[in-house]
Amino acid sequence: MSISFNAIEVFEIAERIERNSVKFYRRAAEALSDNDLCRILLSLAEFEREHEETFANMRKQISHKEWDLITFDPENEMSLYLRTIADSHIFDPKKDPAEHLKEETAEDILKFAIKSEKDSIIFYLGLKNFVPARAGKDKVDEIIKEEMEHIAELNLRTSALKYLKRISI
Amino acid sequence: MVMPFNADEVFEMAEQIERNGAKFYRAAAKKFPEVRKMLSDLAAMEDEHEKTFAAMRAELSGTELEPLVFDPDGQAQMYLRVMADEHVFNIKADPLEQLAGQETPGDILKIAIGLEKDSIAFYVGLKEAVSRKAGKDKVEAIIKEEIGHIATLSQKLDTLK
Repeated sequence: MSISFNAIEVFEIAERIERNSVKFYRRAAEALSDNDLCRILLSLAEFEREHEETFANMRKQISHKEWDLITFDPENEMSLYLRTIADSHIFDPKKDPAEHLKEETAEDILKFAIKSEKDSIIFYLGLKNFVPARAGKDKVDEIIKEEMEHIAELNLRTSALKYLKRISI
Repeated sequence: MVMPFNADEVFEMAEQIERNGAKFYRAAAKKFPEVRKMLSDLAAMEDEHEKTFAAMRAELSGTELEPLVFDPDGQAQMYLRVMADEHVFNIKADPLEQLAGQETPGDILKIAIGLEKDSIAFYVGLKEAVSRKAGKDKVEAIIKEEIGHIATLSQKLDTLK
């Protein structure tokens, strides 16, 4: 089995991760009755949709000639890393992300979302190595930072839910 | 308002992650001769990482992390809090407690990959929280080595299949 990825495949996986996230956040927003939380999840879905667009544009910008140059990975280290992270991403690409929403509480959904954002961040760390500066390595850094902000936001909401639960007892 | 970490706390957590990692690799190496050499090498690298973080902590001890970076909304701080939250990722817990005793070498390698993933996720936040002067490059170098560990573990896992 070939273990090396080419850059096109790496970007396609990133786009798929983002598509799954959009789908997950939108479905989660539909499933929850807390309007404030729904608004936040829909805004996160919008961010992820923009990230997908950014990755797709970056993929299109890089010429075929450049793919070989930027995928210099003689020991296959980066390919192995990316494959492992992609395979263990909480969003199994073969499954509908909305499957994770069956009977989950708002807290479960937020916890799941945090794990998914973390998996995305560590995938993008590897993806960065496949991006020439001209094609926007700094854009990947920005996306990583935005995912970190999402984790912070999701955590704030989790704390708020826990607090509300505590005071309602 | 999230209470900011100080440098002591955050580097202590990084050291703890590395100590746990080394402990896990050594215990697993004793148990599985077929992966002993690789796991012992990984343990030795985690020892080195621990020393690096300890040295960084010694230099920064007592300094608030916050003034070292431009993090006006405390996002990097909050991210680190989540990564350190035992209810979410449990990076501070002793990984040996996760072992039931019936694991195969393949199971051990999968657990190790999970631990490395969580370490990387924490160090990404740590990198954001420290300035270049305070050793951002060293954190970056450790992240690269942990990426290498995942590649090594994954390659070995393939050979066991």
